[in-house]
Order: sequence, then structure tokens, then C-alpha cells
Amino acid sequence: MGRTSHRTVVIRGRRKVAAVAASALQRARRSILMVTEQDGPSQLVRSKTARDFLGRITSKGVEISYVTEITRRNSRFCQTLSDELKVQVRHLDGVKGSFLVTDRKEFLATYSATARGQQGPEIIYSDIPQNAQRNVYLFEMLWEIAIPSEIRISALQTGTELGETKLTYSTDEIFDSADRFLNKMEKEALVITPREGGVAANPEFFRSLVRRGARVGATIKIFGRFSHEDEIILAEARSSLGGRFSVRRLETNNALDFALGIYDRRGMGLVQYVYPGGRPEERSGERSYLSGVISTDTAMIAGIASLFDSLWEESELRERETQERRTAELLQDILTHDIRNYIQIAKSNVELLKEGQGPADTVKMLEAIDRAADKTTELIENAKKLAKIVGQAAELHPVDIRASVLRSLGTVEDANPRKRITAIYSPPSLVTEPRAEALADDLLDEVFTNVISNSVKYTEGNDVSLSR
Amino acid sequence: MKPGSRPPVAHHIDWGERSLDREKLVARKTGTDLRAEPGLRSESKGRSPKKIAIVEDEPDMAEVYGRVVTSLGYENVFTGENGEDIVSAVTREKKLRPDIIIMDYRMPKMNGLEAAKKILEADKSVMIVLATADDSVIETARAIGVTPLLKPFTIGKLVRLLQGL
Repeated sequence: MGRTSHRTVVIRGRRKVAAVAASALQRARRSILMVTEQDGPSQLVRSKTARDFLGRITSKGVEISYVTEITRRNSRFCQTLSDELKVQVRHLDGVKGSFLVTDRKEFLATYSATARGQQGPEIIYSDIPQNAQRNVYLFEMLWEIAIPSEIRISALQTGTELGETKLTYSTDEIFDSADRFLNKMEKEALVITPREGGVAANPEFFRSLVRRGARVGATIKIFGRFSHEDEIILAEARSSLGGRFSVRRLETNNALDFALGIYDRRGMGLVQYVYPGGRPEERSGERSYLSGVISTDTAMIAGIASLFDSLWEESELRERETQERRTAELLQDILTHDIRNYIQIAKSNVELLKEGQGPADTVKMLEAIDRAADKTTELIENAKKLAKIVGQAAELHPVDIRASVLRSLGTVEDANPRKRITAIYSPPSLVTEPRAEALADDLLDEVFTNVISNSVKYTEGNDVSLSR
Repeated sequence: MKPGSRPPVAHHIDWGERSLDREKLVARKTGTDLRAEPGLRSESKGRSPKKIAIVEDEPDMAEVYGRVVTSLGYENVFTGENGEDIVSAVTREKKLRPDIIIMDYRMPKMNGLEAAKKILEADKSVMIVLATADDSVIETARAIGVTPLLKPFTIGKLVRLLQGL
């Protein structure tokens, strides 16, 4: 093949084809752009001769960028190309035909790439600059949409299908897909329901998700805005999954009307109601239907899941900051107001005593000082507990709510013997269910005691009724 | 608690033989001769004593105020537990006409500042002392014509303040 004039030729015959291809590859000094069908990787590395040949090229500093369809069968060859021969390999579904461009100057393609359906040891060779350049553009486009080999190989090794993404208006298909994802879920579900009532709208699906999570030990994270009905279902989930169930509240308006579920980061459903020709506020009574984006494309899901992760992380930080600010305010409140109040009582009584009270009043005033000292001690203890909570993550464990309420009621009743305190439980299942639990720490009793004490304090008369 | 349902705190302080009488007490606290204080001097001339209302949700503190005002010879006409009690007594029932109200700032139902605003809308002549541990309230209190008293304070300071009103 002459190098003095530009030309495009068809080369036939196995030996000639191999010679032309090898010669073009050997001439490369900077780059080789290569695309093959799925049998390409094995041909490139199966024999030692072929491996050595490629190795010599890359050892000269030639960068080889290679797009092929990576399958379970050829993945080990792709791994060799990538790891040993330093070829940059990417995966593209259903690659048909093969071509390569060396140094952006010479172009070779199997004939089948240019005339579909025909096979055989025939290639087109061209060193016409425009021809090579056109195929460089084609290669760059394929390279952009192709998936790095490590992601594809990892997905194949873990049994993850890289999958597809589709839009459907079939309600059946949407629910079938959701069930399919749910039944395969092993590790994690990430859920967003930004519209209030999103959980209660399909309680059976949500309960199935929780049951599945409980069975396989998966974690469920849910972001959303929640109605009272939603909260009841979320409470069930919390009770069933314990620490593996977490909820974050979104601060959005109710106009966001979709539900997103990501399952093990390999299946995703984004579902929304479609209202033909209406703005959200005009939707009332209008016929609507579901639309769903269903995806098993792990690359796309990874992107959306990372968005979820960063939102989650941000909301955790925000929640922690809010909590810390509240606690700091509460501590300041205790220190500046409550303790000063009791110091005031003690000091005032001491001053009055110094002025020489009669014996009867002396006892009363000493008792007032004693009470002030007790209250101050109690406040300091509470402040210490609060500081401890802020300083370290709370160790939450399931606590029997009813038992905690009863203990707190007993404490308040002991302190207020003349008050008759009645508690009305909502939901009533708190009473009827054998054990209603909340994730809490040992301070839950004190929270209830404080709430009940305030109710007693601010209720006139001796009958105190506690309800939601 | 409804206004008036709790008996007013009215203590007779038995200072005993070794103790000072109330005039001496005030003189000691203020460093001044009680007989020179206009408020009490007028009392000593037979004018009716100043009427005091105490609004404080902490019973032991209400007791302290009661002892002090009674020992000064003021008439303790009302004791309430929250802002609503005193507002109701002064504005709705139209019965209570205290000269001075000693009121805590932080109380259930209605805080002292809110109560003071409502009371002053109804009767600008009443003097209000707002006891608070929260120094951020001081300026607001002054702005609406209320005399702030920052906790913790001494009895002497309370006495001086009451005398100055």
C-alpha cells in the first residue's frame, strides 16, 4: 500500500486484510480509535502474538481508545485489554461493524460496517483526510455515549443489568415494574414523595416495600411532605424497620406531584399524574392518568441516586444545625431565665431572713429556699443532659410508648396528688396494640413528664384530660 | 386560675424585738431615711396606702413580693398567676384599680409584656414593674412605659424602685 497519494480501497482476502490492518496499527504514533463488535476483544488478546503486538504499540505511548459491546463472555478479554495492555475500553450496546482510525489519518472498516448484511474478510481502507476525519467524529460520538468498561464489567459481575429507560403511560406497566423492582430489592430503597398524601395514596405498595425491607434487611429512606394519614403509615414502617427506616421532610409546596423510587440503585420508577391541559390548581375533577419513567439504566440511576444522596446529606446537616440551635437556645433559656428565677427566690428569702423573720415564717422561707435549690439542681441536670445529646449522636432504641407514658403519668400524679389526670390515646391502637414502639432514647420519659406537667400546670381545676 | 381565686398574699411580718420596723427596713435597704420618702411620708400622714397587684407564676416569688409590699405598708389587692389574670381583672371586670403592678415577664397564657400593653391601653395611670431574667426585654419594656427590673435583684433595689414610682 503506497503512502504517497491518498486513496480509498477495498481489501479482500484474510491474509491481505491482516497485513493491511497490522501495518496501519504499527504506523500509529499517537492514537488509535477503534470500534468492534463483541467478538473483537477475544481476537485482540486471545493469542500471545496478538497481545504482544498490542503491547508493543501501547508501550510506544500510543493511546488506544476502544468501543465494543462488553458481554459476560468477552468481559475477561476486555479486562485484559484494560488492565494489562492499557487500552481504554468502553461499552456500547449492540455495536455492529468494526472500524479504526489511526493518528486521525488512516481509516479501516470491515465491509459489513459499510454494507450491512455482508460478511467476510473484506475491509475498506482510506487515508483521505476527510474520510478519516468523518470517522473520527463518528468515533467521538460513540465514545461519549459509551459506558466505561469498569462500570459495565462491575455491573455484569454483580448481575446488574445496565438496562434501559422508557416512558410509559400504561398504569399496569408502571405497577408491574414497581412490583418487580420491589421484589428484587435486597439492600436499599430511596423514595421521594413531595406531595402530601403520597404515601397514603398507595398504602399497600408502601407496606409491601416495608415488608420486603424487613424481610431482607434493607434500608428505606424517604423524603417528602406528609399528611396525618401518611404519618400513621410511616410510624408503622418505623416500628417494623427500626433504625433502617429514615424520614426527612421536604420544604416544598404541594405543586410537586410525583413519586420516585430507586431500588438498590439498579431500578428506578418516576411516576406522576398527567392532567391533560390543566395547571395543578385547575385539576380538580379532571380525568388524569399515570405516566412513568421506568429505568434499569444503572448509569442514569446512579446520577439520580447521587442527587438524592446529596439532598439527603444536606437535609441531615440542616436538621442537625436546627437541632443544635434549638438546644443552644434552650440551654441559654434555662441558664438565663429559669436558674436566675430560682436564684432570685433563694436570695430574696435569704435577705428577708437576715432581717429577722419570726420563727413560723422562717420555716416557710427556708422551705422556699430549699425548693429553689432543688429546682436549680434539676435545671442543671437537664442542661447537662441536653448538652450530652448535642455532643453525641443519640443512641436510639425501640421504646414502649405506652409504658413510657404511664411511667410519666405516675411521676406527675405523685407530684400533683390532687389532680385527676386522664390520657386519651390517638391513634387508639396505642392502647389496643400489644406494644407500640418509638425509636427514642432514655429521655423519652422526661419528655412525656414535661408535656404532662405543663398540661397539669396550665389546666384550671383538678381534672386534667390529655389528648392529641 | 381565675383572678381572685387565690387569696391575696398578705403577710404580716413579725420583725421581733430585735428587728427593724418597716420604716427602718426601708431605710436600711435604700440607705435613706424612710421618713424622707414621699410615698411613705404621705402614708404616715393618714392617706390610704398604695394598692399593689402581684402577677407571678412562681408561688414562692409571689410570696416574696407579698412580704415586701406588705412590710412597706402597701395594700396587696390582687395576686395572679399569668398575664390573662391581671388583664381580665383590670380591663374586663373593671373592678381592679391598682396603683402599681409587679409582674413577671415570662408567664403562661400571656407574658408580662403583652399584659402590660393591654393594661396601659386601658389605664395609663397604673405603674407597672416588669421583673425579668431576660435582658433583651428591657428596652421594649421601657419603650412602652413599663419599669423593668432585671433578675436577680436585691430586695433593696425592689424597695427603691417601688418608692420611686
